Amino acid sequence: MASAEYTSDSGSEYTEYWIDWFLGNRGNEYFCDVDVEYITDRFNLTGLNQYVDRISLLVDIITDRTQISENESEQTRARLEDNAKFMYALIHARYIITQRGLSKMMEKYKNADFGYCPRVFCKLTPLLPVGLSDSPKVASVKLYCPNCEDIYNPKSSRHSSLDGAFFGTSFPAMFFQAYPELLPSHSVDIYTPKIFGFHIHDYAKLTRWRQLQKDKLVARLDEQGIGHDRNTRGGFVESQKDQDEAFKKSRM
Amino acid sequence: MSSISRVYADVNDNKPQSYWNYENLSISWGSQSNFEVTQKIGRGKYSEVFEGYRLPTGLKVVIKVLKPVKRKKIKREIKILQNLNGGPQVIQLLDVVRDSISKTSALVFEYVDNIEFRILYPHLSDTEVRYYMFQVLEALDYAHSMGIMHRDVKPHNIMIDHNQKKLRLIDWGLAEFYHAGREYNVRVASRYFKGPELLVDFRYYDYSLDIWSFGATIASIVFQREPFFHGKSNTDQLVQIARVLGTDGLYQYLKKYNLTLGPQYEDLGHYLKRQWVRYVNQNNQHLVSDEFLDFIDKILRYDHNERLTAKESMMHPYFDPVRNVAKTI
Repeated sequence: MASAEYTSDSGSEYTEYWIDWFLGNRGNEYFCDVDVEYITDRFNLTGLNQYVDRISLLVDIITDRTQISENESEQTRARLEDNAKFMYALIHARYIITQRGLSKMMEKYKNADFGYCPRVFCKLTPLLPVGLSDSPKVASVKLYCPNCEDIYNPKSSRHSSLDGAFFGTSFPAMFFQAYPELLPSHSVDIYTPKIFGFHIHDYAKLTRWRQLQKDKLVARLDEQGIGHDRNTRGGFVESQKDQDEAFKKSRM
Repeated sequence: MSSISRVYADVNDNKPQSYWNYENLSISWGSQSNFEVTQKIGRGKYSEVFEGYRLPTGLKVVIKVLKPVKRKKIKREIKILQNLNGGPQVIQLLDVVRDSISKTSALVFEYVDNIEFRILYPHLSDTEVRYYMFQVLEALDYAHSMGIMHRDVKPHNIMIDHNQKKLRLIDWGLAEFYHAGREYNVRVASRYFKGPELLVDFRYYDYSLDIWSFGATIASIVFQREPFFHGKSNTDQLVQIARVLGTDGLYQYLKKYNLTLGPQYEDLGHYLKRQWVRYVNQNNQHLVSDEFLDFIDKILRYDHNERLTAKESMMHPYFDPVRNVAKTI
């Protein structure tokens, strides 16, 4: 991956914080800014030594307490830099499910930094990153849509090569535990294929069956006085158009 | 030189103008949502054809979605189908619907569980051929008696449900009202079934055009030669006909109606009329009879006025064994 040269030259007036440099690299747009206090708390790093060596040095590099020595060979310097990035990303997965991390990711979600759901009927619902495994080098990052409750591959190749473990398997579900009010209302629009305006019989038959099952369920819930129109997971809000159509069908 | 049909020449004159003046037809479009398609079953120059269902009864139907053509042509097809509705072996029009947004119109027909003619025809017995061909003649005689010529008779447009012994004449998209003395477009029918009048650009043709196309169809079934006149182009089509009927007859025909052949026929050559019996062979002899040879000779004639009419054809001895059977079914 082409990345900007890390300016380790202490004499330069362009000296940047390591984290700011990391976040500014192309392809790292999905990451948020992890607090230095979180990184320096050794408790939060438990178990990371199975993935990288010299954790203390890496922490110092990330938090700008030290710089990679000029005396080291080019090879060693590159390896240390890669390990620092890798460790930051693994810490990131732990951080974003903390209260502070969730709130930083909420800002990114509201900015749609992770893109929008490609499904038409999700009407530009913002996405959240998710891993299919918490171990690195298993699967690349996926994007979760809280509307259709499905996952997608990132559009851009620089994101599709990110490791899913940098975000973890729990993040989106944890996110909506913390912010249930951000759950979008599920649209019940279904795409129906047509030919010259005619519905395809087999699809239409299935759609009618689904509608019938839904109507039955709603009737049963009504009978037992169980509310079903709340905006929760599995709860559906019908658009006015759907209601009109359902009414028309019931009259036919 | 003009020509007038020997039969049903003034049918439309005796009907109200609303019967034949299709341009004034106002169509009441049905709702498209009552129909759903299942699969594509055909395609034509002017349409895409689907199998489908009518809701809520689940009646199987055929939906013919018309490609964008002049409104006039759509009106003509609908008016003709309405005029002929209920006639013997005429495909029944059930509804006319339109997509409210794209304005694509579609005609909905009764469903016929057709067996592709190339598969069915070689298996038919002599009696079955006579039976089905009699049915086609009934449809044609009915249409002609209603002042309408089909203009695209061919095996593809004859649907046969062999299990139910049910036949339907379909695709009335090229059909037209006959008015004595009117000139018609010769760019109708499908090449192998084009009558000589179309190929020599004689525009005063009439119902007898359908009899030629019918003749080319029955000849292909009985002699098991599909198509019977296999022209490689419109020009060659007339050559193929001349190789069967002879060139002498062609020149007599041209002379009678004061017609001349185009320069493309300069090296037409000279052919003698072949006896129909010469087309009989091992494979088709079970379908051929003296009555058939006499019948085919009387309908495949250059001169449209010499051809038997549909009614006369039905009275031909060839149909003696099936005439009463057909009536009772």
